[in-house]
Amino acid sequence: MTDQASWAFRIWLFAGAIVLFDIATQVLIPLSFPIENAAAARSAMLQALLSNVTFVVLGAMGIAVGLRALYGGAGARWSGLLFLVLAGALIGAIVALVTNADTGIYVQSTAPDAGTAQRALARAATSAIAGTVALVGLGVGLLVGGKEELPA
Amino acid sequence: MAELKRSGFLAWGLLIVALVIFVDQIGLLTEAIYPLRLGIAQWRFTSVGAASLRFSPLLLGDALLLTSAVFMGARGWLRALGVVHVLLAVAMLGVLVLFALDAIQMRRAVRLDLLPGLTAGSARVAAMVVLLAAFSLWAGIKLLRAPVGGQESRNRGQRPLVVGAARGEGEAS
Repeated sequence: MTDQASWAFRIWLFAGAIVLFDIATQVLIPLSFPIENAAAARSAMLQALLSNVTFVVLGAMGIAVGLRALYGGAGARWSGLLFLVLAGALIGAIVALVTNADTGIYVQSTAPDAGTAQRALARAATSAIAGTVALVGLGVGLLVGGKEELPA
Repeated sequence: MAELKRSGFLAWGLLIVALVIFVDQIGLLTEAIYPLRLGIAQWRFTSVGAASLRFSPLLLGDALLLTSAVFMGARGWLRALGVVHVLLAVAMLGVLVLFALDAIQMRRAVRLDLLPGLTAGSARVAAMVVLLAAFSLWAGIKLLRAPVGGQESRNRGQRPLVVGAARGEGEAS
């Protein structure tokens, strides 16, 4: 690998980590809300995660590309685990969406009327399911097939 | 990797995608913070908060831009990007100082029950600015020091010396 190629992979590793940190902090910030607003906090956490599914996947891909290229099989294993952990977070969000109380909170806070609420819910659920499928697929792929040596 | 670099297609493709991301995100940010009211602390504070929502896409655009520059390997372009990134890092540290002062001022203006949220949100934005400044500085220094034209790693770089020695031996005998 050339020095430049190695540096390009480091760029993606660093950038992916910052993107995931950004989203993680956006999701966790509502925990600082007062305890009587716990429902609103859960709703804000769900919204922060489900409106950033694209960046979750892109950030994780950046990390995976960097780790796989720089650290070979070990990097593939770690990034595969990262993908599966992130998929777990999205599955948690889907469970929260289909749970009656949280679904109500999400819909209330994102939409002024029932029709808009249904669309918002459908969009959020679709994003979460697509993100989960992508992350599980990539994670398993990296864990199973990531040990092969890269071409020089 | 070498084939992709030679074709130049990937480098130009990445550059165009990066520019589209920059134009899109800067447009969205301008829409959120316009009109400019630099003298008002609350506007400065909320503007940095609004900018923080654009950090991730801008960072991914920057990663694409840097990758394209690395593939192109043009000395002037690498140096120009290096200088821009170092200046960006310094500017972000300046923004961080201003943001901290504005945050202190905003804490006096909000209700007590909103204070924990404001503190946590401010800390998040400050952490992101620090991380982005670190990324910019690192990238800037690397770009300014980068060898030009996709030079190979140390082992490959030593090959011509070995070849030269072999020829010398052949001539001597």
